[in-house]
Amino acid sequence: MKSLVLTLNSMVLTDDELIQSFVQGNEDAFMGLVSKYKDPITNYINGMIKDYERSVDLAQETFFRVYKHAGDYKDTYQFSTWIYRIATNLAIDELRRRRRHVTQPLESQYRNEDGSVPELNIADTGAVLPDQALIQKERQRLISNAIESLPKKYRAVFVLKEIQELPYEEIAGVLSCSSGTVKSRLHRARELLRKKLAKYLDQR
Amino acid sequence: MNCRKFNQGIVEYYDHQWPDERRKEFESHRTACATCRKTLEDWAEISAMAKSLPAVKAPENFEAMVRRRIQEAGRASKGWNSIGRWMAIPKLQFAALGAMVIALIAVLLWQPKPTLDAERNPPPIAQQKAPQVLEPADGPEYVDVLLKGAGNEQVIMRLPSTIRVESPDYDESYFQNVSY
Repeated sequence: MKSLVLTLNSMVLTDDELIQSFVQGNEDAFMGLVSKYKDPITNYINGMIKDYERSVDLAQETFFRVYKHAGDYKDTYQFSTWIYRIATNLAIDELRRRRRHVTQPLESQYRNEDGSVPELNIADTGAVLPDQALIQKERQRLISNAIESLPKKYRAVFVLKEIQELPYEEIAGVLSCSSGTVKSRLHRARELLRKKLAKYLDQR
Repeated sequence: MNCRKFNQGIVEYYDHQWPDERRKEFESHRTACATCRKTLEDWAEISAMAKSLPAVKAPENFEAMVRRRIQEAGRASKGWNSIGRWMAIPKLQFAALGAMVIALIAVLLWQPKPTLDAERNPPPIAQQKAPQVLEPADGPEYVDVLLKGAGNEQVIMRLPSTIRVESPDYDESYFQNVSY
């Protein structure tokens, strides 16, 4: 009965009210925030690092840090800005750690006869006419690899804008930069993706 | 409007950040310029591709995982927390503060034994206290001893060939610059 009441309350309480309630000792308010943000935060981190298992670990760590430092939260910015900032820092740390322990990309294991890396695009999928599902899967693989190849600062801004659909001002808050910087990084990210996907984009 | 100006505002235009009247300027350039139109079409396709990526969800037991993570961290810091609880008692706070002050005073008053430093870096022989010669030990046989001072001055001294030295500061290094 208690959880039902809480669920109803959580629906009407704002993030700021929930975090303030938690700071005053209401643990259920914290779990209300976990329920609300667990999927977007996991999805965002997964968009950044492309590793679901690790994304779940880092999402847990994000909420643990919110729990631990809730007293430091200031309502001068939105709670969502704060939690995305924590998640961004964890994702970027993870990418840095991976860069130090370089892993072999899957594509590099497959080579053409002349040793070059094969171009993977829809036209290469075989003689059998691919169905819509296969086209969609290939399209997702292409964009996913292209996003993964972006430098961290461009990747973060692109994922926050295009996948998490945050406004410029909030992205600026998450990344601790100006809206102008967000716009220029977004421009650069889109142009880099355009170059990487040029073959696919030109043959549409 | 030219392509350069279009490019400067393309992000805001694409993301619908501008009012209609400003958009009209861009719309007319977009209609006229195939290059800028292609850029916007590519961006739209890239956005669509990104949005088509399946959104992952947290596992169903995520809340339980977070609770467990918090409990594990709580257990790990239990020792520190119990110290923190004890330190919350005012009498213990004063006791701890007193102990720290005593330790600080002890550190400030403590100085290394001067003999240790003297052993490591003996002063020039001219500044050293000469060992006290009490009496010749074996009769009146003498030997000429060349002594070198701090300023490289040389003094030949005639000394008994055997002397008995009694000094609390006695050290072999007193004779290191003595040549026969």
